[in-house]
This record gives sequence, C-alpha cells and structure tokens, in this order.
Amino acid sequence: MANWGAGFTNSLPPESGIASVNSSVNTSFVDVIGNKDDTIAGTSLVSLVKNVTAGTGNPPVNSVDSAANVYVGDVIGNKDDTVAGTSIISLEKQILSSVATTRTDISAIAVSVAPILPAISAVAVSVAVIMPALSSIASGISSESPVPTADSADNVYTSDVVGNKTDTVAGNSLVAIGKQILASVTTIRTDISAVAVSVAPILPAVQANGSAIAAVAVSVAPILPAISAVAVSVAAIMPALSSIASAGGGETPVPTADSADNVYTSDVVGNKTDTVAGNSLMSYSKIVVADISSVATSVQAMSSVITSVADFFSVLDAAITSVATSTATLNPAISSVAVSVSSANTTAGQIMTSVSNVIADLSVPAQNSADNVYERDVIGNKTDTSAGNSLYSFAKIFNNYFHVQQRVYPNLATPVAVTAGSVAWTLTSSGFTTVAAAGVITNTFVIDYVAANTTASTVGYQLNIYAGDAGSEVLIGEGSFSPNTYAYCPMKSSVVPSSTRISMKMASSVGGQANQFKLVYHYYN
Amino acid sequence: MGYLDGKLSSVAVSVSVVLPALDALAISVSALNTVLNQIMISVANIDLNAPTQDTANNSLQRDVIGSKIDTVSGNSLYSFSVLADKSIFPNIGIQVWPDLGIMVSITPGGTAWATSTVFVQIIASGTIGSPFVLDYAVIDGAYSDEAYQLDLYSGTSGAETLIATAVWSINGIYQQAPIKTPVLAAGARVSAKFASSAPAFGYASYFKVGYHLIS
Repeated sequence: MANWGAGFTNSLPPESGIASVNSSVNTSFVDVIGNKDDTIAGTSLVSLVKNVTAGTGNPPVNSVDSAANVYVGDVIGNKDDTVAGTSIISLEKQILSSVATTRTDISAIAVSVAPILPAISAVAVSVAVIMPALSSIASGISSESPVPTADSADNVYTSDVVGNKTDTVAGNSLVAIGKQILASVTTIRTDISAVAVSVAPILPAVQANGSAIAAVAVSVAPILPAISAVAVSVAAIMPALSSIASAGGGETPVPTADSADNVYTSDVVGNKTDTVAGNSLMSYSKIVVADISSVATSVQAMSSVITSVADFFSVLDAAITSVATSTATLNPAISSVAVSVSSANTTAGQIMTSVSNVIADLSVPAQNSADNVYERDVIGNKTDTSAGNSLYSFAKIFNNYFHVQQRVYPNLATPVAVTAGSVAWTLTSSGFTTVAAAGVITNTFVIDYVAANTTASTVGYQLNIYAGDAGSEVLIGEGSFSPNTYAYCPMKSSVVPSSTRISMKMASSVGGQANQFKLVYHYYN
Repeated sequence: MGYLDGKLSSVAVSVSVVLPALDALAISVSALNTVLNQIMISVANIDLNAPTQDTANNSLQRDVIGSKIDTVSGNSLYSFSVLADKSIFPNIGIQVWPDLGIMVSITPGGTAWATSTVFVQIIASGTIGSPFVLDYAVIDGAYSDEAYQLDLYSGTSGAETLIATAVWSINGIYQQAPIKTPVLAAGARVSAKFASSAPAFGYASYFKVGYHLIS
C-alpha cells in the first residue's frame, strides 16, 4: 500500500484535482479515489464505500420481506423475512417449508414415491445449481466480521443472518436453517428407508386393490405442484444469487477446502471445493445434495422392490388363474365322484343287508321249525325230533331205525291169539283182534316184526295189522309167513301215533287156522 | 375392484362351489367307510370253517352239519351218517359173541313171564374194543314148545339199562331173533334176563348174540 506521509516520493503522477462524478477513467489515484458525489453506480472507492457501508462500517439489514434488489443485503434479506419474500432467508424458509410439506406428503404416500422421483431429481438438479451462486456469495463478501454468538437472535448485520458454525437447529441463521434442512432431509431419508422396508408387505394390498392405487395417485397429484413450486423457488433464487455475486466488492479469498476455521463469515460460507466432511454452508449444501441423492437411491431401491412385487403378483395372478381353472375342472369331477360314492354307499348298504342275512341264515332254526325258506331250515337243529321234517330229523329217525331199543308187546305176557277166516285165505271174520289196546304204547312207534308161534300148523299165513280204534281201523301193514320159516314175520308198518290201538286179522291157506303173535317194534323218536 | 380381486373372487366362487361337493363327498365316503367296516366285521365273523370234532354246540348250521372227523359219539348229521353207514356197511361183518365159545346159559324166572332173578352177563366189559350194535340173539336148548323172551341190558353190574327185547316161540330149535339196540360204547358190558311162558320147568336155555362194530 502507498505511503501518503512526509516521506512520500514523487514517483507517482502529480495531483490533478478530483475526478468527475462517477468517472470511468482509471488513470490516476484521483480516478481511483473518485468524487464525493460518486454514487453507488460508480466504480471509485467513494462508490464502493457508499455501496458497502451506510456509515457504520456494516451493511444494515433490509426491512422484512423487502422487495429491494440492489445490495447484497437485499438479496440475503432479514431474519424475519417470511416465505412471501424473495430474499435468501425467504427462499430458505420456502425450501424448509416445502421440504417439510414434502416429507409429510412422502410419508403419507409412502408406497407411491415412484412418480415423485422425477420431481425430486429436478429438485436435486436445482439445488446443485444453487451451489455456484453460493460460492459467488462467499467471494462477493469482502468485509470480514466476527461470527455472532451461537444461535444469536441478532438481526442487524449479514453475519447475524449467516450465523455461527455452532448454531443449532434452534436458531434462525443460515447455518441453523442449513442444519434444519439437513435434519429434515435426514428424517426424510430415514422415513423413505423405512418406507422401502415396509413397502413390500404393503404392496400386495395395494396391488390387490386398484382403488387404493388410484387413491395413491390422487394423493400424489397435490404433491407434484408443491415439488414444482420448490423447483420454481430454487430457480427464483438464482438471479438473486447472481446479483449478490456480481455486486460483491472488497472480495476476500475463500477459505481452504473444508477449513475448520470459524472466525469470519467467509469461513462459515466456505469454499466451492468444500466436501460433505466440512461444516461450512457449502458443505452443508453438499450434504443436502448427497442426502437427496441418497433419497433418490432409496426411492430407486423401492422402485426395484415394487418391480419385484409386481413380478410376484404377475406370477400370483397366473397361479390364481390356474387354480380357478383347476377348481372349475375339479368341481364336476368331485360331483361325479360324490354320485359314485353315494351309489357305492347304497350298494354297500345292500351288501351289508345281504351279509347280515347270510349271517342270520347260518344260525340254527328253532326246534322242529316248519320254515322252508333258508338252507338252515332244511338242515335243522340238533334238538329236532322225529316230529320235524329237517334233514336232522330224518337223520335222527334213520338212526333210531338202526340204533334203538327193540321192544315187544305183549311184554312178558302171553301172545295174542288170532284165528283166520274159515275159508282158505279169508281174513278173520269175527272182527279185529286187539293186540295192543289204545294207550298201552305211549310213544310214536313203528312195528318191525311180528313174532309168530312156530308150533302152529305148518300152513301158509297172511297177517294184516291195523291202527285205530274199533270201527276206525286202518291197515298199516301186511305180512305172510309159515311157522317153519317165518317165526319172525318182517313187518314194516307206517309210523303209528302214540297210544294208538293196534289190531289184527289173519288168513291161512287152510281155513280156520289159529296162531299167537307178539309185536316187535321200536319207538319212532 | 382390482384385477386381482376379480381373479380371487373367481377362485372364491369356484371354491365355494367345490366345497359343498367336497363336504358331500366326505360325508358319503365316511358313510361308505362305516358300512364297509361293518361289512368287513360281518364278513370276518362269517365262520364257514368246520366245527371241532364232535362239538356239542348247536348255534350255527356248521354245528348241525358237523365235521368229517366227527365220530359216532357225536350228534351232528355227519355223525349220524357215519352211524348209518357203519350199520349198513360195517367194516367188519356181523360177529358173534361168545365167539367160538360155549353159549351163555340163562334160567328164566320162577313163574310165567317172570324174568331171571339176576342179570346174566353175555359180554364182559372191555370185550369189544369199538362201539357196537347187537343185530340178533340166538336161543338154543329151549325145553318145550313155549314162548320165550330175552331182555338185554348194557351197563356195569348194578347199573344195567334195557336195550332190547327178543321173543321166540319155539320148541328147542336153534333159532335167531332179530334185535335192535342203541349204539353201545366200546367195551360196554351186555347182560340179560330170561323169561318163558311156562317157567315151572325151570330149565335154562343158551344164548349167543350177533353184533357189528360201528367204527
């Protein structure tokens, strides 16, 4: 810097008055110093001073939501600027509001983020565009000032607006707002990651209900304008930032990349090459970009999941169609089987009845049953007697015929005498001669022989035997014999009921012959 | 309604149609199974096997019909058939007892038609080793032309049971009298009592019996 003291040497051009107002000449110090009447439109030191200071050495903040757009302060704005303004503060608040709205909307429509992606990408692009402007801001601020205290409520100087690196999300400086943005974006990323995890189980329900998807689409619709508004807002920032950059005087060098300094506002603003590892506004902005990129990645992941879910539902749809077809085919088959089974059941019931009948038929009938329906009726019962007509009854009768006690009547008594008719071969004329009176043989019986007296005259004899009371005699057997050869006259009578009277008549080859007889018989039962 | 809902609804409709059919089928199959089980149990209970030898049971037809190994001791149809067969066609023809021996002497009771006072043994216990039946009795040595009666018994001494009665009217001629008896157990003892129309003479007569084996 030149020494304007006594030792000044005249190596410089001589004084020549003052420069004209807002002169563009740039030949001598006079031109550089300028004219006291120079305005901020000039380029002299006077103009620069007027431009930078308002007599305090620090530029004052503008009124709330000022529409002025002349100084850097106009562009940065007032801490109380609202979202209705156009300053950086307003724009940042607009961004914060938009991001908060976006977070709410995205949380509400978690599963439908796919349509949001292009808009978010647009936001990312827009934010990326902000970065050079912010760099210009940094380079345009020349009068370094100490940073305010953390979370200072002051709203007088630009440094108050920029804030302190240790500002928290409770403050309202640029740093605080940047941290709020970061926190919001972090929350968004967490929310979207959670959405990515939870979207898989949600999607089947969404896929299963077209109306739900339509509702999602309806929900997305109002979001899109908001995101577009964000893009428009970001775009609106650009001229202001450019103006800030172009209006900057007294430029000071940017700090080194990722500088940890926290002395001057330029340290807070940072360097264009600051990375996400730093803590300048630039770093925070890059963090925001990185976070939004992460959000984009998460959304892409969700898109992949959704695609997988869609593929799954496609397969499921085919499977359901196949099931429906199979079921439709199965139904008549089942009905047919049911009919067959029902028929088989009826048949089985008939078989059961038949088997039951067979089993019943295998049992023995009642004693001397007169039934003649089943084989058992024919076979009979072991208790059947000669009164029955079963095979067993006949077997018992046959057995009795061969193996039974032989009996005689009169028993241990004189034989019964019978005289033949007086004419040869004529029967007894004096009526029936009783051999066994009624009631003396008390069982059904059969006469096997008639024992004759072999001492009688050796002539020929015929003996007729009758059953029945006097006057009701019925012939039951005839025999012919000669005493020499037929002491026992074979006599197979019919079966004689118990207690039946037996009588005889006789004829002989020589009329009037007499003989004596006994009955040889056995019980029929 | 979404496309998937439509598909699922279609499946639901089909399934709703199938389910009653399956329910009906299940009921029918269950009923069929019950009946088939009953049939199986019933069929399993049908016992067409021959009964045990000489069973005394009288519940089923098979008990009445009997077994091929039933003997003359049984009471089935088969046992009766064996009895009839052995009586008509004995394995060994009619045999005589005493065999090649002296006839058994029996004295009638002391009055007309009174039987002997004691049982006279004709066949001792254990003599005939198979069941047997008496076919006839032979009388010899009758004293006069009278009528005679022989009562035959089976059973050990003191337990005699009447099994047959034979009568004659002869005058001393060796003469047969056909008789029927129940089947006598193997080794059975046979005894007799004798009576005549004129016992005053008190003379004994002599007897043999003819028999055949039932085995």
